[in-house]
Amino acid sequence: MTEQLILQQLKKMPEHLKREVLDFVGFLVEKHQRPIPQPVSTVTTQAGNQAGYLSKEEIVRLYPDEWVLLANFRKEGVEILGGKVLMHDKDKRNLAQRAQHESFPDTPKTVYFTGQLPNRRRIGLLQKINP
Amino acid sequence: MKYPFSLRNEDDIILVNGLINGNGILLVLDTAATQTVIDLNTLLIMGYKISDASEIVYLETSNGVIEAKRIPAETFSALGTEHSNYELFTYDFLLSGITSPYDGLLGLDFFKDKILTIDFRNQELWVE
Repeated sequence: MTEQLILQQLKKMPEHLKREVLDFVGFLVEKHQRPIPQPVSTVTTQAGNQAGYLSKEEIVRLYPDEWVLLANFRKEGVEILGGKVLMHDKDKRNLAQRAQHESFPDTPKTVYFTGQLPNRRRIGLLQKINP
Repeated sequence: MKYPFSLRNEDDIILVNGLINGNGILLVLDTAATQTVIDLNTLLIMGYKISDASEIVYLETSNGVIEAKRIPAETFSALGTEHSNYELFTYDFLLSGITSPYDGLLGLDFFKDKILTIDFRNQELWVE
């Protein structure tokens, strides 16, 4: 039935449209011959309960250009998806000093910067000198 | 297991997830580094105390020689490989003029007795 409908429509078409149909048929055949793509291998980390969980977008909006300490964080690959903000500060060293006086729940945590840092990659380590 | 990475621009670096005592860190894979180092600020934010760091060591970096400290980790893992009672090195990245969103460098010491394969064409790596 479908074949007859296609042929009927095809017969009414001018030559240039028939060529387009032929091209599209070729595309469909090729598309369905391709192997089904496998999902990209990613590491998803999830910790603790979801109380106070914020998405990455919400964290960035609430704490722009800040360092945040996250609990209950989730990642996909190396990208943060969200988490519960325990502390935040514009200055990483301030955050480190403040954290010394805090006690946090014993759940996995991570540190995340919500802004863009200048592209200065002076982080190469060559070797340890003393034993 | 293969881990994808992304090198879209010429100055992009290979980033990998790490876990230090269960806490998540973002590391730069550095095959020119002999040791794994973590920013002291990151460790302090996660609850480490300065007193947890012990003996001073000197590290030669691209910024010159810097003073670092040894710090033990009960568990340290990345790329599907876990080490127990692992010795890390730490120093204040900010004090050394390093402003980076990354928490440290994953150095060659981590791959001792392992096989690290980096497939640049397909942008994935794995450890055996």
